[in-house]
This record gives sequence, structure tokens and C-alpha cells, in this order.
Amino acid sequence: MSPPGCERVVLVVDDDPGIREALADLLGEEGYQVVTAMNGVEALDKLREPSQARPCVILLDLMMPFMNGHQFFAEQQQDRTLASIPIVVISADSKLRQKAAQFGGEFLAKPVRIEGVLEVVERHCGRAA
Amino acid sequence: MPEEIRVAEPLDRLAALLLQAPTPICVTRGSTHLVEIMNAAFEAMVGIGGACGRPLGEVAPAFDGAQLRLMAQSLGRDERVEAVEVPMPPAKDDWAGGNGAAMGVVRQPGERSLHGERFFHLVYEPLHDRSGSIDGLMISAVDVTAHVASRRDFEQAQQRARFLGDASAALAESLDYARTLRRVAELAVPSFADWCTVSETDEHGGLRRLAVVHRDPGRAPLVAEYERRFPPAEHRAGDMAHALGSSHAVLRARVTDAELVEAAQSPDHLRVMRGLGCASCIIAPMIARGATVGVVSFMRSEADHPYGSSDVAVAEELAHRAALAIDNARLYRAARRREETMRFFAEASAVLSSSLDYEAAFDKVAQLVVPSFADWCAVAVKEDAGIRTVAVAHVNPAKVELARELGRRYQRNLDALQGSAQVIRTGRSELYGDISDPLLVRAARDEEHLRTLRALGLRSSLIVPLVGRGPPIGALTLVWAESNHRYSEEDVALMEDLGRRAGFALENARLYGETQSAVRLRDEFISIASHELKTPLTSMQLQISGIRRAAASPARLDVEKLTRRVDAIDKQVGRLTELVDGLLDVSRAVAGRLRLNLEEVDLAEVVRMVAERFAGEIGAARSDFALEVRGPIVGRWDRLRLDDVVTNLLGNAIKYGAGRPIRLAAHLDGDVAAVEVRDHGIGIPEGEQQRIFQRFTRAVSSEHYGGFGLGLWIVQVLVEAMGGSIGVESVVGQGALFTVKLPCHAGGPYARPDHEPAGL
Repeated sequence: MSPPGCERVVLVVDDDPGIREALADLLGEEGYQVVTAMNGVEALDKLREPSQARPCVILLDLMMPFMNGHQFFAEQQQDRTLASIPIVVISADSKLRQKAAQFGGEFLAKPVRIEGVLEVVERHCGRAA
Repeated sequence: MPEEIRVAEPLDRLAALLLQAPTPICVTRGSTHLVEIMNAAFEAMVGIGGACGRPLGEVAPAFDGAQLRLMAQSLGRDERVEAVEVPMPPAKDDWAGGNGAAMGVVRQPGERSLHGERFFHLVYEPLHDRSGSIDGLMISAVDVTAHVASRRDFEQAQQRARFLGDASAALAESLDYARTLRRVAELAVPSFADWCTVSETDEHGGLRRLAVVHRDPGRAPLVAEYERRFPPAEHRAGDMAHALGSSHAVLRARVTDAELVEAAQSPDHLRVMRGLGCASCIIAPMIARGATVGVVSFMRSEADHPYGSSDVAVAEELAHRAALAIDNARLYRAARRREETMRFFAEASAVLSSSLDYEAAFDKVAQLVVPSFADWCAVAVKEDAGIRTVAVAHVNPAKVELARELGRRYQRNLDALQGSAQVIRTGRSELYGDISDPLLVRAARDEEHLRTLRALGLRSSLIVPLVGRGPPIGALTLVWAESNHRYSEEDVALMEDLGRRAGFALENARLYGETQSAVRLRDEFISIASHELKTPLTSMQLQISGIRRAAASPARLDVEKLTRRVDAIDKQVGRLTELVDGLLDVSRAVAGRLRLNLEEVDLAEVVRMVAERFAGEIGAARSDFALEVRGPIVGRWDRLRLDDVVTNLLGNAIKYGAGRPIRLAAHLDGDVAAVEVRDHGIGIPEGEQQRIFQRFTRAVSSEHYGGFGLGLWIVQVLVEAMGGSIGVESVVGQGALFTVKLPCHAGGPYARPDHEPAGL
């Protein structure tokens, strides 16, 4: 089931190009529209772009230069129009479980399998056509 | 004269008997007491002759005043009047008026204590004429000098016994002997002396004055000046030295002004001694168990009561009793001190071993030292920047805050007397047993400084080093002030022991701290390393998932896509290999086993290649990039390591300076090649600039930037292995400039023996 107005867009925020490409590729194959950002600043820029469709979920890495996952989350929560977008943390952080609790509790530990990613994306966006 | 006596006449015979009687007899006539008869014994008594026809009161001063009144009384009332113990002037040895010696006027024992004065019992008997009316007096006398003398001796003996008794009682009632001896000095004044000083010997054989007491309160300023300016240790010559060297008192029955002048150290000293008065003195050593523990001096200001040999006995007895009191008190104090010391060391050891927070431990130790071993206690520790006082304690808890505040000034003031810096440098303790006023005067830089030193009330100070396994790492400064105690050699040994315990504790705490931070660094490194390794693993995992999913539904199998995924996996395998190589480099570098393949390399070419390889990333980082490379720059280096160095530095510049201009330059400067990497990123705080070349450190939090935190350390190891050096210049917020300098023809395999082979 897809939330109203949701275009099945997924925002992937990760500083590693390999991970960004792989996720974009695999989610794209499943019919999702994938937007990528290499850090929190770029992610906020893309979210605020008027032409940008609102994503139904954000896959967020934590350790990134310029604006890390925590800072991004804080900024996002400050922005009324963005605050309700669910976040799924994907990180190699050893203390991920505790940290993810701050983001609503959803997390995936790196290295991650695509099945795990698809499961949470489907839950938030509905199965892609 | 005998031939004049007419034996046949009874009256004449009577007169002759009167004249020759050994008893002093005088007959006077009338109310003016004109002398009618005065026998030789009387003449000897009053010390005059040829008095006949003259008033007795006029010729003999002894019969003036009180005796004149008694004579009038006897005449007026017609009664026998007696006068007891009437003093007469000392007998003259050259008395010519009569045969004094023959008359039995002889020196008697005890007379010496009366200084020659004699005493007579006088009887005034009225004489009547034939009509029965009173016409004169017969005065007879009995010499009672011996009686008076022995009574006086008895009284004096009693007084001395009382004095000695009081003194003994005072000495026995307290173990605070300094106060007790002052009390003894007070008892001696004024009955035995006009003023009195008591001094005890110290460990160095010197003298320390405990009391100066003068009978005249008006001379208190002189006493104070004497105490302050003329300590006994300063004049250890003459009688004082003599008394100290022997077991007997020195008696100076009469001290003339000329002798004072000769003994005086200075005009001021003479002025003070004259002011206090020293006409007669006894200096008695205080001896207990065969050892001299001090000296007591008794002084009489006026010349009229000089000390005699019986006084010497009293002085010696008093000194002996005082000595026993000092000895007892010292024994008691030593016993109590041993007890205190054992308890103190037990507590100090417990405190030092219970805490690895050494500043807290030193605070506790400083508090333990006070008040048993010091009024003030400060602990200073040697650090890179110098010496820092880490703990201060003061005997008065209310003053602790003030003490902390004054600590630095205090330290500096003590430093004027050598001080903790020197102790830390030499490792030798410094003992200022007695900080006398002259010592402060010598130590003071100026008047203001002298005032401060005096105001601090320093009495004695001891500085011991804190020594662990190596050279001194700090110093413990102990000060006696208010309580007026002094440090001795015994304290030095004690406190050095404490210094060693504290030194080991400090060292243990430091080692523990270092271990802690090494463990923390290692944990952080492992966390970073696992993150770094998981990143390519995540990529690979995702690509493999994709391949597996494609394999599950062959309809979707797309060879082109499959190839791309395998390529992506291949790329990540390469990345993983690089990371693992990096780790191997680290472990090799740590073990000192880094091998270099030296060959002719063109640095300019290497730099260009690295820049080319980074073109994509630089573009992604949206930084303006300037590459400034001049000529071929040829030298003997390891090509791959050189590539690593430039890659690492440029990678950092892009990582930290994205979006801002980056410049990569290489040039030859004589025989030295230089590579410069300039970014305009966040920069590195000055305090961090050396640290960034250490293992596992990053100037920024690991939350912001990925990486092992090993890059710059590896770069430094590589550069140094090739004989070069690396430096950084940076201002926070304005970026950083890394400069690598490499000699073109140095080299040789990496085998620097001085490189630290520490484990990861």
C-alpha cells in the first residue's frame, strides 16, 4: 500500500559512491525512483528542490563528511515539510542499535543485503510496479 | 694605755675594764649623746676613733636616724631599749684606731654573703646621776653578724629551693618544653636573675633560642631586638662556647663595660647589651644523659649583686633539671612522632595506591601532611610546559583557598631560596632548618619582597623530590610557619620516603593514563577500521544480492548489467586490498620492517599521475584545482611509496577542503625535492598540528570523516624512510599547507633504529 501522493521515490544518502550506485541500481530495477546524495547538505538541497518529488523513505548513512546523519536528522526534524519522512539508518557503526533509536528505531547494519533494504522500502513505499 | 690605769682605784679599774672589754661599749651624756667613753671594740664596730666629746650621731652615721630615735626613747622614758640586727659598715682591714683583730673582730663564714656588712644587737641603758635623774646612756652591743649571715644563707637556700621546686614543678607539668622553659626563665626573674635566656641545641650543633625574659617590661623592645637580631647561633664564641664545651657553668661575677665592649659583635649589639644590662652572669650548660641539650644564661644588670659560687650551684641544678625536661620531651616527642609517622605512612600509602587520579591523590596527601608534618604543603609536578603546583594544603582549612591562591607566589618566594625547580633538577632535597631573618634578608630581591617574605612567616622549610623509577618528576614542599616548628635531618629521610612513594604513585598513574589512552585509541582504530572495511563489503554484498536475484529469475538476466556488477565487485575487492595493504603497512612500519624499492623516479611524473587519478573526485568535490609542477624532478625513491604519499595528501585535501580551491605543487630546490598540498578547508588547530602525525589520531571527530586516522602517520613514516620530512602550516578556518621535502639522493633501505617499535 502506497501513501497518498507518494511517487515511490527513495532518497539514498551515503558518502560512498559504490554503495550509492549499487542501491540506485538495485532499487531502480525494482521500479523505485532513486535520488542520491553524498552527504547531509546535498540531501537537504535535493529535498528542498521544488521539482523534486517527495521521497517515501530516506536511507541514511551516519558517518559522512560536511553533514553527518545525526546533523541531517536534526535539520530534517526542524523542517515541517520534511519532518514526517521516515528514516532508515544504514551504517557500519558498531553502536548502531543505540544510535538508530534516536531516528525512530529503524536500522540496517552494513554490510547489508538488498533483501533487507527492499523489505523496509516496500513497507514504507509499497511494492513498486 | 694600760700604764695609765691606776690599778688601785676601783673606778679606774672599772673604766679600764670597760675600755678593754671585747664587747663594744659606749657611754654618752645628755640629750645630744655626747660621747664620754667609747671602748676599742665600739670604735672597731663603728669604724671611727677619737669620738670623745662629740655627738655620737654625728661621728657614727650608723647612730643617725633610727638609732637616734631609739636613744631618745630610752632617755625620755627611762627604759632599756634594744635594737636588733643593726647594720654596721664593713670592717676596715687597715683600721688603725684600735686593735680590731685583737678585739675579736674576725671574718666569719657567711659574712661573705653579706658583702662585709656586719650586724649588731644594741642595748640602750639609761644612766642616772646621784640624784637619780637620767644623765646619759650606756650603749652595749653584741656582734650577731654570724647569726644574720647564717639566717640569710638559710633564707637564700630556702628561696633557691623554692625556686628550684617551682621550676621543677613547671618543667614536669607539660611536655611542651619550649613553653615550659620560658616559664622557668620567668621563674628565675627577678629572684635569681634580672634577665635570663634559654637556648636549645639543634641537630647541627647550633643553638636555637627558646626564651628571653627580662624583669623590666620597659625593656621589651630591646628584648625583641635582641631576640630578632642576635640569635645565639651567631655568636658561638667565648663564654657560651666554653659553657657548651664543658659540663660546668661559667661564672662571670663581674663583667666590666670594657669587657662588654670587647665581646660585642657590633655597635648595635653593644647598645642592646648595655641596655639590657650585664654586670654579672652565669652561663650554665643543660646536660642530660651525657649530652648537652642547651644552655641557660642568667644575667644581673647592676653591679651591686654579683653572682657567687653558691649561685653557680643553683644555676647548674636548674640547668640540669631543665635539661632532663628537654630530654624527656624530646624522647616523648620522638616516640609520638614515630607513631604519627607510621600512621601517616599507612594512610598516605593507602591514599596513593587507592587512586589512579593522581591530582586527587596528591590533594589527599597534602592534606595528610598537614598539620603533623607541615603548616603548608604544596605538591609541584614537572610537565612539558614547566612546573605546575597540583596540590596545596594549609593547616587552617579556612585558609586552603587562600593557600591555593598564594601557592604560586609562595612557590616563587621559596624558589628564591633555591626551591622546587632545583630539587626537581638535581633530585637532592633542600632543608632550610631555620629560616632566620638574616637569611630572608639575603634571599629578598628588594624591600617589597622582603616584606612579603617576612609576612609569610616562614620558619622552616623542606623540599624533597618525587622520584619514581627515573629522574625526579616533581617536588613536595613543606613549610612550618605559624606553629614555629623546625625541620631536621630526620624529617628529610622521612619525607624523601614519602616523595618516593608519591613518585611511584604518580608514575603508575601516568602509565595507567597512557595505557588507557592507548586502549582508547586502539578501540577507536578498530571501530574506524571495521567501518572502513565494511563500506566496500556493503557495496559487494549489494552487487552480489543483485547477481543472485538475477540468477533466480533468468528472464531478467542481462549480461551487460551482470558484467557491470562483477566489475563493481572487482573494484571493491581492489579497495579492500588497498585497505588491508594499508593495515599491513602500518604493522610493518610499527615493527620497523618497511622495505623500500629505491629506483630513479621522476617525482613530477608521479604527482601528475596522482592528480590525473583524482580528476573525477576533484570534480565531484567542486573544488578549483591548480597543479603546479616544474620539470622532471628526479631522485632515488620508492615509486609506489611516493605515489602513496601524494595520494594520501591530495585525498586529505579533497576530503577536508571540498568546494574550496586546492593546489598541488612540486618543485626542485637545490638537491631537495618539495611537494606542497594546499587546501582551504577547516584547518588544524595549532595544538593538534603535531598530533595529526601520530597513529590513530585525527584532528576532527570520526563522526565527520572516515579513514583509519593512519594516513598522515604512514605518510610521515614513508617520507622519513626516504630521508625526508613533512610539515604542516595551518590556521583554523583557512585550510592547511602540507610540505614534504625529500633529498634526491639520500636513501638506502628503511632501517631507522630510533623508530619506535610499539605494538598496535
